[in-house]
Amino acid sequence: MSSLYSHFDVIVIGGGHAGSEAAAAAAQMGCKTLMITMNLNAIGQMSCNPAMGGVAKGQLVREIDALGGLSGIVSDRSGVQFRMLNRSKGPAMWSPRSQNDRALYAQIMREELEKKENLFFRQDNVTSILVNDKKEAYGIETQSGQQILSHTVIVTSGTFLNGIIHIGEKQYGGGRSGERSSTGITECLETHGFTSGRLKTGTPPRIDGRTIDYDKLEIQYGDDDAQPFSFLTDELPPADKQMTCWIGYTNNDVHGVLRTGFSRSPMFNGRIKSTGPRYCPSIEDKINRFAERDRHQLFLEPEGWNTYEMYLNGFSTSLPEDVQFNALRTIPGFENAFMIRPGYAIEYDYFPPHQIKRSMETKILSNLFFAGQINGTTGYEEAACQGLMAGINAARKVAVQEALVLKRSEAYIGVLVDDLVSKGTDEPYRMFTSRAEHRILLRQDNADLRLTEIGYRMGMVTEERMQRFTRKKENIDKLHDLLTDYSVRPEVYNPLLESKETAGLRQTMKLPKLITRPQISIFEMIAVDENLRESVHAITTDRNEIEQLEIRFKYAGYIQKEFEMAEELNRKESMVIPTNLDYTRIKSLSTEGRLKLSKVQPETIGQAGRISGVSASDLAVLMVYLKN
Amino acid sequence: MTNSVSQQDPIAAIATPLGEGGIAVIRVSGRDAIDLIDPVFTGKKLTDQPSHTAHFGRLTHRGKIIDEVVVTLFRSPRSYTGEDTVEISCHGGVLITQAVLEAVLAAGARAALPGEFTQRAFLNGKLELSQAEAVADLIHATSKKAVETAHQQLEGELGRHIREFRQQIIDATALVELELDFSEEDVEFAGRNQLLTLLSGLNDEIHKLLETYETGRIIKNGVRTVIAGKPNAGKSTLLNTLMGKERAIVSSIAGTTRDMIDADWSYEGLLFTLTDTAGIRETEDSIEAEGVKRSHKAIREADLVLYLVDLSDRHSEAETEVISLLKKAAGDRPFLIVGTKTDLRNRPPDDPMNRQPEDEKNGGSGDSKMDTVTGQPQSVQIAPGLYTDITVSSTEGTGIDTLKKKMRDAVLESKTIDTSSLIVTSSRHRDALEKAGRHLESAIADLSQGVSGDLLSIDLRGALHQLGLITGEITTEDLLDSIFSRFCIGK
Repeated sequence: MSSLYSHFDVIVIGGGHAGSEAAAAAAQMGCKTLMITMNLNAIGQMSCNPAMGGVAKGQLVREIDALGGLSGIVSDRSGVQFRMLNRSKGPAMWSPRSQNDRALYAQIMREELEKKENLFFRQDNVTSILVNDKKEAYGIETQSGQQILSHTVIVTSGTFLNGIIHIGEKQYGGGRSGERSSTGITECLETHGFTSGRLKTGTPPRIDGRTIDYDKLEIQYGDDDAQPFSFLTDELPPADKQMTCWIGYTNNDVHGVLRTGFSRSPMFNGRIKSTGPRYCPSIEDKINRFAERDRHQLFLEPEGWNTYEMYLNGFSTSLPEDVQFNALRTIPGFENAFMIRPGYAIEYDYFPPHQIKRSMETKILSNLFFAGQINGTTGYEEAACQGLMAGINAARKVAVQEALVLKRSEAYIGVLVDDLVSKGTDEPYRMFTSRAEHRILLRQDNADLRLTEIGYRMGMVTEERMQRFTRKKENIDKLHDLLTDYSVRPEVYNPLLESKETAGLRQTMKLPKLITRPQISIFEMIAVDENLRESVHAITTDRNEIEQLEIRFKYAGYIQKEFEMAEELNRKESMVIPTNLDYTRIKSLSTEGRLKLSKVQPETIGQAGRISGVSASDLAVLMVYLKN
Repeated sequence: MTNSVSQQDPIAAIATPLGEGGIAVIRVSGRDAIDLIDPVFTGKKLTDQPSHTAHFGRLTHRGKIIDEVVVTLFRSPRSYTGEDTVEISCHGGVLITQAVLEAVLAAGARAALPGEFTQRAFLNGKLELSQAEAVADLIHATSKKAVETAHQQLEGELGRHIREFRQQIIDATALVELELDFSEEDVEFAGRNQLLTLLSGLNDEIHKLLETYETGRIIKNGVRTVIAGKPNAGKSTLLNTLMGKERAIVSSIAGTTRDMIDADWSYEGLLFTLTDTAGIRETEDSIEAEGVKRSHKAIREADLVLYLVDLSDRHSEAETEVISLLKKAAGDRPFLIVGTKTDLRNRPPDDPMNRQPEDEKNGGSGDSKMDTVTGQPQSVQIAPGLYTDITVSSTEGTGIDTLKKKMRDAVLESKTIDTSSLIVTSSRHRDALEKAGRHLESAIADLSQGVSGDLLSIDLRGALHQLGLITGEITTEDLLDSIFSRFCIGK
């Protein structure tokens, strides 16, 4: 059967956060790319809360941006409030987060995608993947009966595969509130030998903001010196030009009302069997599992500039609508609240991620890539970065180039992909900084220094970005030279040091040494030392560039320690395990270890060591075996 | 099953301690081990015999009979290594045993490397790594106590202990991580003081365990005992007396230094490695510097020092000086001054040694402190303020039992150990514990300076990693599980 449509290099199924990044990346790298989605008006939709970033997730967005992805730019341009979380902690923890205008985010994302000249769009429902007898994907078939052929296919199906929405005892098929689910892809892939599973996630009700008594809530402002996600964004609006969020609390009365609905809750009556995320539990889950707590925090987020709709974060629920309504009205500040839409839980198909390689390509079918929730993750940022990697690697595959695999010591993206592939997941996977063993190396402030050059080599990074980056890097090098040898004199610094209640200097000292004191910052030093100020400003006045040096000097000891540990890890990472190794032949592996190794087929010893169930002695056996 | 065992080239080694007992065993393991032994064995055709059978016959080398032996066959995979294995029991005795081994090597086996049998057993799934380590220790265990520790480790008592430490650090780290990853959540974070107490307590425990390593080493490798003194102080005689009947189990080999002799001897479950130093030569009131230097060096590597003083000989001031020098070198190590040749004590009446310590203390004449068992004086004054700890007569055998007991007590007391408690014997474990301890100390220092959690956690994770090397890998899932099980996360 001949296709009406020409042959594509890359077809991306889905237009969410993963699909958008995948399509943009493939097109950016010169591939003729088709994004096919069930609803073109829902491209770049934020299906859950209207916010991007946060702890660990903000780092992911910065990395996506450094590699030439879109999420950072779109977040900056659609943001209504910006905060840098964890400011009081070490630099590895500083995490940018934005509240976004939901509609504006989708609109800007679509605009950015439409700017890509190799990118085409089609609205349709894909029902199967075309596979030849060499186990290669070569296109798709749609509900309308069309076959569209391509070199590679990327599936970013989100929550749409056989999605079922639950509200109390009601349940119906759907991929998102108000949208149909998609059937066919799971069944098609299973015939080729894939295993699928079910996961669950949920959302809270949306409230009419005009019916909320804000006096009973705590207000939360954005930052005045807000830091953008994108290394290309120069400035963000000051705090008074940003929107505010609000914090409220449930109480025992609210919990009592919620409990009246438990018997009708799909979570408790067994209708929902699949696993939800432990870190984002529904409100009924929270009061059930942590019965001793007499209140839970709620976070009220604006949906955008031009709407009074509010998102009640922390109140995710699938209880019957009447219970949701009554419980909501028991919350202080919400006595008269009008519920615009109820919360719901959604169950969907995913494919346990041991079935993909670190390139995001599936192990069973070549030229087929998975990204986003289909791999068992949750969160826009987690989805987006996988989309980016799948897009890059599909394009690399088309160009017959080696896949790009980021190391765990190089990027959170590397941690995420490696975790998925090595450890798999049976609950929705979310990024935490604690998942990264080299957290101090993977900071949001140096995402560009870690990744821009890689992005450039991939053909993802524009000349404009590369020029900015090169300039920044040169300035940092010059600053490094200047500050390393700079001597601080007691008479200039002692008043500052005394005011900070730290010991004064008796003689001159090199600047890098003084700056290791936690009490003082480089900016305070620049403020009191005119000579230093002039020398620094002769190189740059960019806060981020100067801050980069402060971090380098202040945390030099810790950075060095992590660097050495990363080196050790990378040595194990360089011990390659041959593909299709027959683990049944290695007798002394533990039964569980053998099972897990056979299932995951790790690519390196390092990866093997991270598989749960593979013990240290299994690893030792494997190393001895490989040496023989 | 049978096919999945990989058989490597045949190796052979003497499996029993050299020279010990009436029978020695030579073990041969590997591919075609039975076919290999068959041509040098006169008796039944071994290749036709089933597994787990023993056969009497003669072992030959180039046609000459070496010994009458019993050969036991173990066919793969039902053997210690999982490979085809032949165990040849021959008459004990160094020469015969060596000759049998040579015959087997000549037949085509290769001399096994240290621990190679255990390594194969491990590779063929017969042992776990920690078991393999303990078995290696078991093989080397030459005294009762060492056998006990080796058993203890096999059963994973150390493992259980470390796992407990690890869990406590995971909990502490989880508290730190909670504050980092969930700072936006409505959870209460751990107080710094609470963390500090937890970590300090853990650090103490790890150090306690580390202290047992010294004891562990002594139990496994023996108490390094140096016998020093002037050349004619009776060192060799004492050494031989201490060995007594047990001389048979001694593997006496020339020491690393030209003039030193090492010998092993065990007493009440504790193994002593005796080193007889060459003696400190004295010529016309001057002490040979070289001898002092040698003794110095030996003492620095020792666990126990016996300094022998010939009570039948005139004591010189130079020797008093030597004793105080060596005592200084010994530091915390137990240092026993042993008076020898009590049977030959015929000194001129004006010899200061005739005065007993009680004389000085009481200012009058009195009995010297007598050993209640032997009736021997223990504490004899050799010079003003310098007394022996014990006196013996090697030739008559008096005081020897008391000396043995004193040696054992001195060692065990100095270590302040409960000999029935858990002990670290592996240097690999010691290293990991030491590193874990260093990480904890660094975390404790950071904690008291109010350093942020992300930096703190570098060392906490470092400690976890080190402990994980003993028990198995640490995964971040452990941390997250700990967090999610205890705190309500998710706004």
